[in-house]
Amino acid sequence: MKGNERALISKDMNEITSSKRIIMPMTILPVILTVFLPLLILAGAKFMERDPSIMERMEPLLTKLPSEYSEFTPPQLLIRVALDLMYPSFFLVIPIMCSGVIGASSFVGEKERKTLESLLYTPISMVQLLRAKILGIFVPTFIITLASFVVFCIIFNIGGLIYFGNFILPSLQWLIIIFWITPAISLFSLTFTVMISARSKTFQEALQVSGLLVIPVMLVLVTQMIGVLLISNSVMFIVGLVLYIISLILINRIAAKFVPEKLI
Amino acid sequence: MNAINIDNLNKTYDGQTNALNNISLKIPKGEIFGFLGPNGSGKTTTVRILNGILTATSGYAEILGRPLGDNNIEIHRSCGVMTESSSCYENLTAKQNLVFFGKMHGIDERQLDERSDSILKRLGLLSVKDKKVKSFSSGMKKRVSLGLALVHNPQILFLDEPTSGLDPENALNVTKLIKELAQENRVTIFLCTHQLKYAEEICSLYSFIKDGYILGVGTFYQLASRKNATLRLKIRAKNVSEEFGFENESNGIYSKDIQGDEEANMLIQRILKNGGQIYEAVQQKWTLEQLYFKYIKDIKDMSSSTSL
Repeated sequence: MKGNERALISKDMNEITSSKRIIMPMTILPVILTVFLPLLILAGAKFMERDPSIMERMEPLLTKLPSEYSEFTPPQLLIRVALDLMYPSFFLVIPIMCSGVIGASSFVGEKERKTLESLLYTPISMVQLLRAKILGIFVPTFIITLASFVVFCIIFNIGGLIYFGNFILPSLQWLIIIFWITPAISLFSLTFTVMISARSKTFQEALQVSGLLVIPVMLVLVTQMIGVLLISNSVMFIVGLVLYIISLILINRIAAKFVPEKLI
Repeated sequence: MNAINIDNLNKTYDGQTNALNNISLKIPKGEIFGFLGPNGSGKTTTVRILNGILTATSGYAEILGRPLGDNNIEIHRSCGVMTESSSCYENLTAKQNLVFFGKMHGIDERQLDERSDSILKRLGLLSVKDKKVKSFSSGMKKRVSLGLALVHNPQILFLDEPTSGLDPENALNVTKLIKELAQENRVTIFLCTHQLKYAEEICSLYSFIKDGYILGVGTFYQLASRKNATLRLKIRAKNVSEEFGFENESNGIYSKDIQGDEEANMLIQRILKNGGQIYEAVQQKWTLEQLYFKYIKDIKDMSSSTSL
C-alpha cells in the first residue's frame, strides 16, 4: 500500500472520530445490542429462575429445537436461545450499520461536502482511491464489531459463570460469525453502499438505501426465532463464502465504472 | 515549451449541447493567464478536462508536454487546483488539511510540517492553524483551499475565482501571492474569473469565453488591436454634431474610438469649428471590461446578422 493510500485511510479515520453524525449511531447501537440487551437477558434469566412454569409455556419452541435444549434449566435455556438463535442475526446489524454509515460518509459525504473533487486532483489512481476507501470503511467497521464482541463476551460470560458454571463464549459458532460472516457481510454492505453512493446525492439518502440490507438479516432472525430455520456452522460458512464471492464480483464491476467523471 | 497546449477541444455532457466548442489555447510558461467569461461559459469544464477529471469529447490537450489521458497522475503532480466545486475538509484543522494533501502528493512528513506552516503564514492563517476549518469564515476557507493547491509546489496553478468572498485586505494578499508565484517560481497561473477589473490588474494574457466558444486570445494590446480599440477619446462637451461619430454616454459626456493624438486633435478642432463647446477632453485606454463587452457585442451582432 502506498503512502497516499495510508494518508487517505488515516484521514477517513480522523474524520469518523471527529464527526458526531457518524460516531453517534456507531456508539449507540453497539452499546444497546452488546450491553443493555444482554443485561436485560441476564435479568430475565434471574426472573425465570423464580418461575419454573415458564418451561411449560416454551414447550412449542422446545419441540423445534435440538434435544440438548430440553435439558437446560429455564435461565440456561434463555441464555442459550439468545446466544444461538437470536444474537447471531442481531449482531450482524452492527457491521451492516457501521459500514453503511462510514461508507455513506466516505463516498456521498465527500461528494456532498465537495471534497471528493479536491481528492481527484491529487496524484492517486482510481484503483488506489477505491482500495483506500474500501479499507477505510472495512477496518473501522471490523474494529467496532470486534470491540462490541469483546464487551458482549464479558457480559454473557458473567451469565455463563452464574448459570453454567463456566465461560460460554467464544464458541465455534461465534468465532465463525465474527471472523468469517462479519467480514463477509461488512464487505458486502460496504460494496452495496459504494454502489448506491454513485446515485445518491446526500449522505442521508445513501444511508437510508444501505439500511435496506438489515431487512434480510431481520428475516433470518425471525425465522430462527420461530424455529423455521436453524443455521448450522456449515451453512454459515457457505453463506459467508457466497457473500465474499458476490462482493468481489461487485467490487470488480464498481472498479470498472469508477471514473472521476461519474463521481463528481 | 508551452505550459498548456489545447487544440480543438470539445465537450458535450448530453450529446446535444456543447459545453466547449473547438477550444484552442497556447499558454507559455510563467504567464498569468486570465480565462474570462460569465458563469456557465465553460471555464470550470476546461479546468476539469485539463486536470483529467472530465474527458473531452474530442480534441487534444497537453500539460507541460504530457498529453492528457495517458498519465494524468503525473499531471496532478505538477498542477495545483482550486475551484469553487472543490473544498477542504471542514472537520480537520487548517494544518491537518495541508498536511493531508501534502501526504497525498507524496511530500515527506518533516518537510511538510515546515512547508504547511510557511504557506499558512503567507495566507495569514498561521494563528488559526490548529482550529477546525468549519469554524472559519468563507474567506478563510477559501484561503485554506488555496493553500491546498500550493502545498506541493505546483508548476501550474488553476485558480477559479480566487478572490471572490475575500475582504479587500486578504484579496490584496492573495493577489500579491499569485504575482509572486509567477515572478519568483515561474509558476503558470490559469485564472478563471468573471471579475474583469481584477483580471486586468493581475493577468498578462487573456482569453474571453462565452457559451463554450473562445471569442479572443492574446495580450491586452493584441486583443485591443484586433478590435481597433486601443484608445478612446472622451469629452465633456455641448453641441457635438452626430457627424463626428461620438457616442453620447450621459449628461454631455461623449466618447469615440481613435487611433492616436492626431485624430484626437483633428476631432476637437472640428467640433469647435462646428460651433461645439469642449470643457474637458481625455484620451482613455480601453479597459478590459470594455474590450470584453466589445467582443461579446460583435459576436451578438454577427449571430443576429447570420440569423437574418
